[in-house]
Amino acid sequence: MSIEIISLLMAVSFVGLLVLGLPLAFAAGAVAVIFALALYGPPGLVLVVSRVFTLLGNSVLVAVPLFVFMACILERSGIAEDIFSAVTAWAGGVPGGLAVAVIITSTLMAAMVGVLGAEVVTIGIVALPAMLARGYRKDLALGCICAGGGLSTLIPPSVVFILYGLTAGVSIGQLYIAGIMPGLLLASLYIAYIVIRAKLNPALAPRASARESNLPIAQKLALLRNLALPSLVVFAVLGSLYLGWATPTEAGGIGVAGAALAALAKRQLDWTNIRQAITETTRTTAMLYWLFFGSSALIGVYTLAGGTTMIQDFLTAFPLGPMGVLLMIQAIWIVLGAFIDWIGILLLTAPIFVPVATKLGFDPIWLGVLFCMNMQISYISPPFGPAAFYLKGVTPPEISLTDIFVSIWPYLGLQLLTLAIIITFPQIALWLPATMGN
Amino acid sequence: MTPPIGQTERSTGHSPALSAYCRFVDGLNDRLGWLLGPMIVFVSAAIVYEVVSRGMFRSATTWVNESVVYGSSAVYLLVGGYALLHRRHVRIDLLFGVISPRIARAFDLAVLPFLIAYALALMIAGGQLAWASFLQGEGTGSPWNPRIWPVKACIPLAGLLLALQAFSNLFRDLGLAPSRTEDSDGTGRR
Repeated sequence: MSIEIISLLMAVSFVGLLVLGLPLAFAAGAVAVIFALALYGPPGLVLVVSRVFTLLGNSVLVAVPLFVFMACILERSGIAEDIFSAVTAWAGGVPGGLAVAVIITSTLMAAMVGVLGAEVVTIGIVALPAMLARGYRKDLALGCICAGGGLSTLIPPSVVFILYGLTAGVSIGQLYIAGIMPGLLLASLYIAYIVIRAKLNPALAPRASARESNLPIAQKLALLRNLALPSLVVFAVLGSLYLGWATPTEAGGIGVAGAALAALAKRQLDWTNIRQAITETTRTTAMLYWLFFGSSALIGVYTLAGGTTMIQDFLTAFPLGPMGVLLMIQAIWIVLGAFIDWIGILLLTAPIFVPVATKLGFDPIWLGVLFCMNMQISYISPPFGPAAFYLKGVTPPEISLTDIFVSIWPYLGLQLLTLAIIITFPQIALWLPATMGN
Repeated sequence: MTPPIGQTERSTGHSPALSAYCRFVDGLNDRLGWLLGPMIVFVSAAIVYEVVSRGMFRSATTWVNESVVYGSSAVYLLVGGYALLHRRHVRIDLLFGVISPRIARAFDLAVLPFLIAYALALMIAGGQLAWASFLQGEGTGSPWNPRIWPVKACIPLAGLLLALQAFSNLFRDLGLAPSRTEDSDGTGRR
């Protein structure tokens, strides 16, 4: 059987199982098992299981539950509320101040939380009522929360980067540091957009009353204290990585300790919260690990059958040149992102695309940043963008899912613009990791 | 942890035997998840200890890294069934908004053999690998060099737990056993 036919059969059976509702992890595993048996007989099964076992010994994989655990502790500690009130006190006076505060809060939270989902819910609960009460128009209020939530994909410690680094075989520390500037660029563009719109049409975002915006300076300084501990956690995690003191796994351990201290300082480290954080971590991590096992087995079988080489040869011989291939990869990621979860896309496409891109002379770290930017797009884009569904869970009933998706378009445009900027100027992502310590 | 069920089984078409099976399997996986989950606390503590001892005394421990890596891998392998119990494995709900529950159940039945095939492969090939490793007394190859077969033995065990849970979920979905009344566990993160 030729590899073209094998590829087709594998793709059809995989997609078929997914559409029928089998979870991604098991669909990948099952297709791997069936094709391993068909192509190589019983020894093929050993290949599948050995792939799983190899992953069990990977010391970087442990960083995943650690960063998930860190996020779960922080999520329950009420730190988002603290940050939001402090930022509002200081930045609330600018046009669209509350929406700007949402973006700043999201950015700071993104620097502590590496998993999507948590933030949109937390910030939705804290900031949405404040904005609606002030009379902000729905689309301005909703869009900034969804867009801000996506930043945790790009800004370290993003779990997406850990899994990309593992799949592509590149340094996770470098990926983390490379995500900082593009993340800040995107956040600045969001802020600029909000301020300009609010300035052009003040009715969109009524200003705070004089009493609200003129807090006594002592009170403002007191609120600033809220930011001290979270900032310390951020600097401990990112600083130790940047300076080369800690591996990603160790940085994750430091992050958990920091998160626990921050929660303790807020007297939120009680038994219920710990137990909930553990439960959430166990379930999320089990899901991520099993996805990793299944897709690793699938890619293993496919590579052995010669499929990976075939696609790579096809892509490298592509008539549009390196940039054409790169843009095609972006397009594939964006389209897949509308339907499949980021981790499925990552685990199934990165082993094929990263070597191709490297061969064509592109930096795999930079490609990782581009991947995260694509996944941010998929995080908010209709019809399945998870951000909208998370937010819907905490909005008042008069706000519909359509309202949320409508509010997202301008931010989607800014994401595409930033993606284009990073593609044109790779240095924005790459200069910071170049200065790292070992 | 298992929700109170019992008298609801009268006149609903639930099979007592299958209901008991579901209650047993759900209880097993739920307790396993509850029991193994807190390991993350020890993993975090061990890593912080390692970082501190390296920073302050310049002495890296040999055992922390390996036990943390293999320990957590084994745990998250074993709780695959637990995550399935709480329906946390990511799937694509492209069709599930538009098809009737009857067709959805037919789909569930159609895909089950594939999940079982994967679980069986993990059990059979994983069992062979673990047994061979046990007979050889295979180590990890590090200076500490602990025996590796207990970790390998988790692969077939995890396959079994997963298969058991898949049947339990199916029985409950098909109405052969009462549905789990709990749903307050932070529902479907994509």
